[in-house]
Amino acid sequence: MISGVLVGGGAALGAIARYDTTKWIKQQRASTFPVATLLINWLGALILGVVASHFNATTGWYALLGIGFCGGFTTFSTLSLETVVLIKQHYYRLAFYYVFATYVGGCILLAGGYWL
Amino acid sequence: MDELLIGLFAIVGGVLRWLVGQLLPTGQWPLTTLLINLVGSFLLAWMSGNIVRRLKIPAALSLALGTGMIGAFTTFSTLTLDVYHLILSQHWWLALTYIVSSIIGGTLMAAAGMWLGSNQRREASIDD
Repeated sequence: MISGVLVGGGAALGAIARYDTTKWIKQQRASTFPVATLLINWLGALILGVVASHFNATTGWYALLGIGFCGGFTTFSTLSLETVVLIKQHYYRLAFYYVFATYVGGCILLAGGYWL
Repeated sequence: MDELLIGLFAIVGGVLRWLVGQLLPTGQWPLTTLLINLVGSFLLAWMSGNIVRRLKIPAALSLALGTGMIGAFTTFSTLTLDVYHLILSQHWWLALTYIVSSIIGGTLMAAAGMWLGSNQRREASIDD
């Protein structure tokens, strides 16, 4: 029960941070390539690596920061939607780079966060 | 002010993700995250269609539903953690199939959602 509250609170903070970060990045520079989501998913993977190496998965801290914040901050649905939009606009190479960079970078950053 | 609604709906999305994780059995295969991510990809793409306009859902609410609820329901960070654990335990094949199913599945689900959304737009324009 208490875990659910922590997850919910963390997810709210994570989603708001994602929204504001996306808005800020898009204001800096408009681009076809979904830079904002890529950076957010990279950063979220790095943070989750740090969180997962410091807190046991059954702790409240992990529920708040790992499942809640990092889970709410990073997103998979937007990644999928942006990939399809790039493909529909015939930016096949960009779509490939986007997916490749997201997964390879994300996994490396998570592992890096783990060892921090 | 958008932040408040996004936050409230993100609570629903995040807690739903947590609940699904509690309810589904945890096996070697990170099925929970994959399932959640595929469903969320479909829903977000479907919502990006004209359904929001057709049902006259206010912009702030659709933002809260899409960015807040579905965005917090799906997750990328857990996916990378799952992959990390699979690789550490030397389940290379599982790690690879998990990534490939996420990429292909997520893209196909989003394409299906978008296609359904645009079909609904066509029906709506016939009604008009």
